[in-house]
Amino acid sequence: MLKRRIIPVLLLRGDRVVKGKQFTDYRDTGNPVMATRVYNAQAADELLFLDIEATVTGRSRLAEILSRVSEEAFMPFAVGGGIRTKAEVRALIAAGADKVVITTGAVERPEVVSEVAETFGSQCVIAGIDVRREGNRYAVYVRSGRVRTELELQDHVRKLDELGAGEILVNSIDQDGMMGGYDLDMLARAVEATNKPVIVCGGAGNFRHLEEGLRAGAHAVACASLFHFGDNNPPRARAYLKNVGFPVKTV
Amino acid sequence: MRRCRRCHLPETYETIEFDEDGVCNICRSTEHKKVIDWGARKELLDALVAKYRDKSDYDCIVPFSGGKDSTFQLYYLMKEYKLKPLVVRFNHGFMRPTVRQNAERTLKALGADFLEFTPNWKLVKRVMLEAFKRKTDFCWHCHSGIYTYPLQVAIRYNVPLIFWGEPLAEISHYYDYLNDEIEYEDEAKFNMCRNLGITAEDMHGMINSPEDPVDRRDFIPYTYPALKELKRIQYCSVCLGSFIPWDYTKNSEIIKRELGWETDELEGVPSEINGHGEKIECFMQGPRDYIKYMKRGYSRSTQITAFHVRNGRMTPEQALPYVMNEGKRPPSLDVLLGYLGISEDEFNTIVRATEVSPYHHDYSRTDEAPRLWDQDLWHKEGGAGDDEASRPRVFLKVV
Repeated sequence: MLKRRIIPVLLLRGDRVVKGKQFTDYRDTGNPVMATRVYNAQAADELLFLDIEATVTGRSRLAEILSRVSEEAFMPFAVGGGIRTKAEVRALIAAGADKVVITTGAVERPEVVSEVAETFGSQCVIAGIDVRREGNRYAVYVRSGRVRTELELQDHVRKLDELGAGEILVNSIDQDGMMGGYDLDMLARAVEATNKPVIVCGGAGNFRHLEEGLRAGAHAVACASLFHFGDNNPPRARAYLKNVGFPVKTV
Repeated sequence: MRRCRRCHLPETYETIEFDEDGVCNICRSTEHKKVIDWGARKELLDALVAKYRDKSDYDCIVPFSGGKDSTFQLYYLMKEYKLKPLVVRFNHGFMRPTVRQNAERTLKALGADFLEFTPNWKLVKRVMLEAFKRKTDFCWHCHSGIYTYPLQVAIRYNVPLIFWGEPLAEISHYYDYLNDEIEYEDEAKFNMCRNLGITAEDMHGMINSPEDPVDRRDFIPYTYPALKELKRIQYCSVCLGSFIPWDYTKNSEIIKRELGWETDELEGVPSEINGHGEKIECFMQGPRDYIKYMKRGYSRSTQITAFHVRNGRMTPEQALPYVMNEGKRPPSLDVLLGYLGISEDEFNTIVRATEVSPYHHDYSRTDEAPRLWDQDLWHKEGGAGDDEASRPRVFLKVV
């Protein structure tokens, strides 16, 4: 049985990592290199680095910080933020990244998903989707949640799947940083629309939330506040999930 | 809550897992402790000591609080191996009078050089509040400093061998005896389970602001030395408990008999189960254990009786009443609130947010643990915990 993964998310802003609520109100949570060293020691399954300023300011420190991060990270890690071209992906992989996350780029220049998948393989591409709930639908947002698109969640999931994304990362802006649990309805809709592994993100505040995410069909649970703002770490989370019956990595 | 059918540790205990018989991984690991070839381990220790003896101004560094484990470490190394240690204490600011007396008695009796370092209290208060808000653990300065500072001393004095005490396998499953490995206190272990996942570099950025700047240098005592510095002195940082079987009760009996080491009351814990003197070195232990109870539904009595059960000194049935009767509010909480500068409501709100499922704390509970004999002797701020009416007339401990 495929092991379920717990993926800490590190949001990069300038030289530091931060965490906010609903994509705003960011608090400093540390130094990216030291944070990687900590998650490495705690044997996190994977890491997700997202440069939240890249698509907003057009500048990215990703490659520069990545080279220092990759010296620390023995676990696979994915990076995202402002990626639009295969050349950028090539540079990030050369700097040590195992996968990339493409969110805004997948909306504004969808062909980048298939280009990267064809060149580096689907396993290298995580397609990101940030959504807000609007009544009974989920609207897709881009540019770190600042710009609303006309796209609807399930249509967008299907499209990214067809373009060759290896995994879908679905993130609720409403739940982000609130620590009240994942948006399980959002997750269910994403899972329903694809056979690709779905990573759920946004809202995990305790281990039960991780369990709920996995029960609702997520292959992996991504979280930030859970580890930044609580007495939690990946080994404790793994022990919890093991006790409730999920296969997780044994260290 | 689901509990280990043997030691009663609940499912909210960190890194606990249960097997098909309902027994926890920590109990299973301790079973393995009994079949380790301790004779072979002792030979490893002999070889290690021989390798480092007389190579420097000191044979080794012994990080030392004066509590039961570090006192035994020091006693064992000096008696068994006639080592010349440099004893190093990182003072977290909450040393209790009995432990101070114990430390002085031990150091005089054994005859060792002793260095004590006490960090900037103003910074300590700021990081206490920050760590409490983020992790509901106000002890970041201690978790970090006790592991980083002795290594900095090791580098400064060029003493490569550092002996820590109890193995982590006794208390959690980050490491276990099943691995049959020597436990190194290195940076990976520090980051995995010592420093709350917050390094000095992280913490500095978290509290530094233009309005209230923090000197980066104030964080040096909490910074793990660079690997290249440690490698330069060819450091070897190990737990003594990897080489000799660690038994809290026996170790305490030895230091009591040989050094006159005294135990003390531990807030919220019946003295009859803590004859070995666990956690008596810190007067903020009561609030620590209380927070644990509010989050996880177990506290120090459960942890202590779990040791006794695993070591065959108590039956699970004998332990149960202690497990069921803990979690009382410690009077020392007022002292902590004075340091943090927050109200009890604010304190409760922060803790409530990090409750560990499936435990759910009853915030209407009002029962209070007995006040410790020495509470009136502690440093206090904000007038907290300093109630004139409840202050005893006699300030000296009645022995």
